[in-house]
Amino acid sequence: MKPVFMTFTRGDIINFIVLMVLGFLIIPMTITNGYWYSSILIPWLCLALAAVGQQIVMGYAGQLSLGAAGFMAAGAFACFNLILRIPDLPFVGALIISGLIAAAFGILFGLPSLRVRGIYLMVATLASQFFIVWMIDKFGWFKNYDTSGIITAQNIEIFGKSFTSPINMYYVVLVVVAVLTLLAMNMVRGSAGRNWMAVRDMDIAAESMGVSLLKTKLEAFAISAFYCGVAGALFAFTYLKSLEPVAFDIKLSFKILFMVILGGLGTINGAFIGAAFILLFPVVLNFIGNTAFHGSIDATIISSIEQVVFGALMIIFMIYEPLGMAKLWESIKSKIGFNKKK
Amino acid sequence: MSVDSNNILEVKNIEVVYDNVILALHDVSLTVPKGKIVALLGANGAGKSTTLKSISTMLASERGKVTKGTINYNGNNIEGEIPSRMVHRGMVQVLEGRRCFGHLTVEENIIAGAYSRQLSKGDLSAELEKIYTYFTRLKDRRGSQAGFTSGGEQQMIAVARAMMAKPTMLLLDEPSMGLAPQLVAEIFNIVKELNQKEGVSILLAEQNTNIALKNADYGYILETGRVMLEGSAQSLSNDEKVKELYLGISKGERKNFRDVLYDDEKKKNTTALTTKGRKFEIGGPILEVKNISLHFGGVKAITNISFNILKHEIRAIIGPNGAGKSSMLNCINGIYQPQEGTILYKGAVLDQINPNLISRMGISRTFQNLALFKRMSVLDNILVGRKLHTKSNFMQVGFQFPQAVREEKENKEKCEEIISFLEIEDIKNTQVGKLPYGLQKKVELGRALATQAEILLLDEPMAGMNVEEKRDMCRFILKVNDELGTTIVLIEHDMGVVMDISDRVVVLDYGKSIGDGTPDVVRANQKVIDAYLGVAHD
Amino acid sequence: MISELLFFMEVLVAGLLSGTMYSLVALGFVLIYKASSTFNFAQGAMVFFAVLSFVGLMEFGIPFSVAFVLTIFLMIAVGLATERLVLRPLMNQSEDTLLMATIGLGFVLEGLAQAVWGVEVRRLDLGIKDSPIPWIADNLQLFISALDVTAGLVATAMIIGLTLLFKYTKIGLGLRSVADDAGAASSIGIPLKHIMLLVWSAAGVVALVAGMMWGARAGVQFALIDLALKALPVLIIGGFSSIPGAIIGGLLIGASEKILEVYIGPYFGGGIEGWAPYVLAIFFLLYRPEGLFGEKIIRRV
Repeated sequence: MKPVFMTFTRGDIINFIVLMVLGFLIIPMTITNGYWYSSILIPWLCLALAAVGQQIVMGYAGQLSLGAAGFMAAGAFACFNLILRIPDLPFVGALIISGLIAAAFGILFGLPSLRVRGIYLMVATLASQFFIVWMIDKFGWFKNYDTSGIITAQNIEIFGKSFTSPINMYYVVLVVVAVLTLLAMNMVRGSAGRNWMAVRDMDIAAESMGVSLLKTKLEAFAISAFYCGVAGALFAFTYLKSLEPVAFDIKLSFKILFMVILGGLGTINGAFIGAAFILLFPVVLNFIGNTAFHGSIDATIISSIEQVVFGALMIIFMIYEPLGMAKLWESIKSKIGFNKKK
Repeated sequence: MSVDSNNILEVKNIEVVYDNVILALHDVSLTVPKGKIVALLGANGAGKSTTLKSISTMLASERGKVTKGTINYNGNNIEGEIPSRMVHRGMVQVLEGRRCFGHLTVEENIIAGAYSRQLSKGDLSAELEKIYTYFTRLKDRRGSQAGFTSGGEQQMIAVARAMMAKPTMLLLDEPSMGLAPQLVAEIFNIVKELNQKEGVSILLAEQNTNIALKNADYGYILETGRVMLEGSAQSLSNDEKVKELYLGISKGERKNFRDVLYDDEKKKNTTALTTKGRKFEIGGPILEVKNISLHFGGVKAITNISFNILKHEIRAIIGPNGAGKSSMLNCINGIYQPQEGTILYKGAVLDQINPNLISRMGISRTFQNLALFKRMSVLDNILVGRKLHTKSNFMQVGFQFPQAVREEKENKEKCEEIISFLEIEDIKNTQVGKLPYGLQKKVELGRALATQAEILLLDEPMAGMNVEEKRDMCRFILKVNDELGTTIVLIEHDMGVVMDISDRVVVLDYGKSIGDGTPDVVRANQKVIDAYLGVAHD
Repeated sequence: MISELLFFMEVLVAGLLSGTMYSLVALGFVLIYKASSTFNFAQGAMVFFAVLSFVGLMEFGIPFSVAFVLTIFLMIAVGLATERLVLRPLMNQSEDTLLMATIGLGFVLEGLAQAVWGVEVRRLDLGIKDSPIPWIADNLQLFISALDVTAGLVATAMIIGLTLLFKYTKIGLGLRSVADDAGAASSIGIPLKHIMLLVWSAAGVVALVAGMMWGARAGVQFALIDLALKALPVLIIGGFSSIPGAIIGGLLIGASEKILEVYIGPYFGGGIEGWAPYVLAIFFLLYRPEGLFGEKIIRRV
């Protein structure tokens, strides 16, 4: 496939245009109900962004990390405090700085990756999850000494215009996610991605080829934390519309882990597919529970079933399609394409 | 179906499939008479291991199954059997690659072999002593952790362990792999003894056709999943085709690889080797190893070794398995830190050695057991080799700055050159993990070449290859040395290769240097002959 | 001065004993890791599932000992199902794949337990009070909970038993062989299925005992699963594959947790036991990843 523009092929450019048209034109024109934006599209995009971060550190660089939600919390609270304390700071600026602050945590808690791997590394990243949330909780300064327990996120203002309606917030999120995803795709396809994958597959050989394990691993952690930080800020400002440390608990880290594994480890698509699945499945389940059984099934039973299904799916995918839904999608596409040719 | 009661094993027309799609064996039939040694020969990927695994029923763990044909052991069909039951029936397979229980001691490993038998403590000790009489080397090491013993010892542990299960039939998968001639001879002697004294029937898969035919009664030659040729060991050794293809002996005089290469190229009208002489004359020392000593825990891997490597030469390091060759390379490359000694590069002492630093200095390498990035394509693997020539960071790559785009293009071009040089264009987008062994070795060479290093350390680049593949690899190595002037340090077991293409050789044994000079000088050195070339080389 | 020392002793002993409770949970992990080199993320869920079923059965009026035996059978069934449906299909996959599968298993067990028995917190009365033993309090001026002491004794007994099992019995040798190389073990006739079933069932029984101890102290509730996460620093310090390591690691974590909380916690506003053990574990990871007693990772290039 010969590149047409920089390193993009014709296929890439077509995909890009289709997605942009879909996201910026078709969806806003056809979907008018605010619910779809505030409860489905926005959280999906935010979590997918965090999942992209997780893909970078785990799917591409092969470092087992369970700290995604912690970095999201760092980003969210950083953004809140920046906007609160620095007047006239543009929202996008706040986002970027929040991401950088999260990235700093990423580097700090990524240091153990230089010595350990696998489950050992996972334990170390858990430390980051617990520590960051504890830190935000303990020191009132982060919450602006709010005693009510509920901190409302500020309104988003860009170039003086207020972005508070569902569809406007959707646009903000869409732009940020689109730009960052594009960057991510460039990175994973280029030398950065190859270095990460080399470290993942055979680190001693990678070192012997000149790849610096220190730099590459910390780079992956930093970038991943950046993405999670920005995602966390967006999540708090456009979906939760509040900042509570408890929203960024270990359960969220597990959710994001599931997203990348079920979606397909080592693919950017997988982040989006996985996020969509994890987000939509409970909605569908609730729907079935309410309509088919006329609301007679207890909510806790539904959430228990949800858990069982997620767990079972995890096992099933590990056995039959370890490369996740992204691979499954590829297989289906090629089967259909093959049949079409006939 | 009539079964000859003189045969302990009868395999009839089996077909084997992996993952429901990959056809590994097409139509293989063989018999093993009771008390005899039968050899399964052929190149890597011919299907020898697969055949053994279908007999011992270990295919299932690799998602393979026998889809056609029958296998009868001791008169009974083995369909539906599982490995542990086969062991009860007296058949034990010694898997390829040693596979010892690394954390258990040598003695515990061997005792584990008796798991399937209900032995009293007394019986167990008696059996153990009996095994030790065959494997005297292991008796000395009985308390060491198996993971820290040498390759040869591990192979012995694996066989001893299998013998503790008191098999009536033993399946040996590549017992000589990676071991030097003397050790191989020792192991085969033990195997022969076991066959004669204990009456164990043996089916062995071997790439080393030479040693296999010397010790077997009968042989089958497999190629791409089919039996190509069969016969008594003697008739096979005298077969012309076998001689040429598998024993590397041609009717005429044995030609020097360099000359062969020159003639080949001349025929194709390529101008690679312009003269019979060298393009880059051998210069002064580029790398010097002085008084290096390395030990792991109690095991001394290298003791006071010194030698140098001259610019533009091809330097071979040879020696029995466990002699310290790979460890030496790992010291140069920075993977191991020697406790004593210094390494000089271009006259300057290297204080801090790690793989990263070394690669930046212009030294690159391949690995004995393949260290490719399995989930990446061939092209991507080789592109990683260009890391040292890539200056753009992740931001520039992310935002597709002109420098990043340009570098990517240039690197891709360079890699395409290497790919066509190594003649692997048609697999360049294939995931490396799916390639056969020989091709993977080529890709590893390509990756090392991409670094444009001044010195290439090659650790057994031809292990597991047949004669033709070896010829190809030699051709590439010679070309690289000749065209680019790359200094090459080569670990090899194939004496023919070593003598033909190296300029100088250093010989290691038990961690010490016992010979250093040109091939002819080393060949004539009595110490070397005693330690290593023990078995007369054809 | 004396009262300060006494207080420290109290904190220390309380910490040590609560540490043995952690050890009980960690033990289940060690068993499975020793036999299959897999970290069983589902162990916490197994603890929860086991004790919840036990309590649930008793609620149906089934007497204590019968319920205990029934639950053991239940855990063996869980072991069987796990071996058949999860372990066998994933026999030759990478460590990470197995890890993910155990995470999935954990979720399944958690969800099942909740769906069947509901979410209310339940009390578990073992007949042992979680309050200071009178004669120790009177004579030594130390307040040590009877439950903690019982847990300590039970844990010690289990650990001694299991250590002996692994080191000196034939089946222990089989387990260690399978842990090193399942394929090679199978090639010399060691029956993998049996070994796996045994190990997972044993881990299930250990989970039940651990759950009973913890349930008696804190009530049988969801938060038990977080226990599993707490066991991780224990394993790091003690070594994933060491049975004595589980108890030493547990003691260390229990003690340091209490001591740090009481003496250093106030400077941080309290609540540091959430992450302090992990930070301690990180230090171990940096300097001695295999823990105090674990097996060094042999990586021959």
